[in-house]
Amino acid sequence: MIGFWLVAAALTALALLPLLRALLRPAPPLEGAADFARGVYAAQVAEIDRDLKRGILSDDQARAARAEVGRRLLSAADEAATLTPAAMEAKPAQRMALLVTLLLPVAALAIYLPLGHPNMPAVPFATRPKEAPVPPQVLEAVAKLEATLKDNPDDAGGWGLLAQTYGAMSRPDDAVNAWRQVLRLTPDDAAVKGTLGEALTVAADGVVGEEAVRLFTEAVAADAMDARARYYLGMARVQAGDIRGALDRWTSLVADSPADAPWLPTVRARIHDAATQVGLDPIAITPAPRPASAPPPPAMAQAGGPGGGGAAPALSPEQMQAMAGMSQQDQQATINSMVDGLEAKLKDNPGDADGWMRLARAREVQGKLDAARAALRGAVKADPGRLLAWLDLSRLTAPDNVQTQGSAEFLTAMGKVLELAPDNPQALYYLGQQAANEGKNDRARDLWGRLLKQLPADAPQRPELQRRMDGLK
Amino acid sequence: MSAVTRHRLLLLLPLAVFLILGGYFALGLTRDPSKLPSMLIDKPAPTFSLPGLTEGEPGLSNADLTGKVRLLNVFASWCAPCRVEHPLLMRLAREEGVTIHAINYKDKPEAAKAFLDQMGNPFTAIGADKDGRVAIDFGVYGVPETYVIDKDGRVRYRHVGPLMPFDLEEKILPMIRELSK
Repeated sequence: MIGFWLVAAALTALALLPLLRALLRPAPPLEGAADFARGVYAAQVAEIDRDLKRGILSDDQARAARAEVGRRLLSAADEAATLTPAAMEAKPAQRMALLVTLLLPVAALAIYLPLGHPNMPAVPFATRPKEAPVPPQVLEAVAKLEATLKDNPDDAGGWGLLAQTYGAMSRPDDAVNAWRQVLRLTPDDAAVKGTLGEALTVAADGVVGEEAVRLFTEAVAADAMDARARYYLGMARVQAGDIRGALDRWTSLVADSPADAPWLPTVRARIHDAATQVGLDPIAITPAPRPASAPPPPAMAQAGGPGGGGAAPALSPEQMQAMAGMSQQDQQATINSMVDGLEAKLKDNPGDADGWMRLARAREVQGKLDAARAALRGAVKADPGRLLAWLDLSRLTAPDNVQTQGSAEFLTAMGKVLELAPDNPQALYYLGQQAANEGKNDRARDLWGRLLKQLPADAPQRPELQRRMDGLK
Repeated sequence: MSAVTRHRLLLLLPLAVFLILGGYFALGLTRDPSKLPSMLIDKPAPTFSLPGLTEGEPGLSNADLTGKVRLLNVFASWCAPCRVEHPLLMRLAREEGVTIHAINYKDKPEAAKAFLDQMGNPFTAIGADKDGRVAIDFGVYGVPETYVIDKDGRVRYRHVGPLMPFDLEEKILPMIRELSK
């Protein structure tokens, strides 16, 4: 703010400078016509004298000529005298200068204050998000990976890694091409279709084009609960000017999503924007989501719970880029050795529940389910109040068939889950089934009744459960 | 006129130039550039004949523009707003049954092909205007532009800039319905 006024003052001073210079400059000495004439006449008199000496002029002639020059000289002097008053006025206009110095800034202020907005925020030419420069090691790793893929273009994992790296490097067109390669190698993978559709959308500045629509449609056909694909299909309808079509797609997505789905806030915000555009009440048209799902599907469990751990021990950027250059076998070996290292550390420090959770997820991703269960047992031992550990343990020990009672360990885990989360639908269901099998009809009725209350009216499981409850005699 | 007065008048020249320019700018500020009138409104489309995007593909000429009401869209793969309006054109062509012709403006054929492969091709026929000559005849001001052409091949409406859902519902679709009667 003060900076603006300082600059404005400096600019005003700068504008005043040439004006003052012109006004205060002393008038140039009067080199007028009279002075010039005087010089000429002096030269003429000298000429007459020279001619007289050389005898060209006689004395009389010379006298007459001098008199003539003298007369002209006098008249020139008269002329100069009449000019003098004007010349006298050409002295520095100090009063004018003072007036201008005072009036100009005052006038500028008088115009600026009613018209200007000194508090208006600056509008930068472009606000760029600060992009972290790509470290040279990563570029090197990318170049290496590109070269490897040139020799071995059928390595879907390599293409996927390259595609993700391109995406992170803000090279959307290259990411699209790499995902196309992944899809070429795994043509039936619905998730890859969705990912390619998303990459195409990013490359088209958020516009969902026809190819992306086709990919998303195929992804939804393969997995009706592909929330990403369903979200983008709604987006495509908005862009085609069909707001109601978009609302239909998004509201049905909300209705099919568990209440704790991470995408719900985004979808709800989109519904709100779209509904307001066509004059609908967003709250009235947004349905209630399904009850929170627990145990969470593996994809979400991996996204990290209270333990904060991802699928594997977190990698540092250096490790990531080092791994990017490795072959798939080498990558696998590195991951294995890191997970084994984590396990060894936990043997020395078995109270680290977070560590056990991380280990369990890593083991699960590796497909070593026995080891994952063992790690979860370590986790619940270290922290028996950890709901997520009990949920994961119950998920990994769950019976294959919902009608079977399940192992003692599974039922213990479910019991713990119910203690910690009295509304958990799985626990209500399986513990109710256990009670029914053991002839404890009252308890079974209580548990299943609580479950029924949670199920939406049109839930497919409802009639079957109702039938079994009625059978409790 | 003495030399001095002539000199003084010369000093006023910048002021005069400023006033004239300022007048023009002030006038320009009061006009909405998106409502740029077209010299062609209610006149037949200019005569032109453009080749297709690639060898052997049918092109587009003004003779193709008669017989029914249609849209003529000027697009380019390098133009970001064209991408934004593209889903709308797709819906018009696929769901509303509107015939859309296109002039591909100063574009590389392969880039235009890739654009249409990814975004979809709503156009019945495309003429490739590589040097932009035909666009000059149409008075194209900037891509995208969309013209409504009536049954007799006359330009009835001109839209400068990307079409928005609003333009479609309020202007283009009602106009097409009206003209098709």
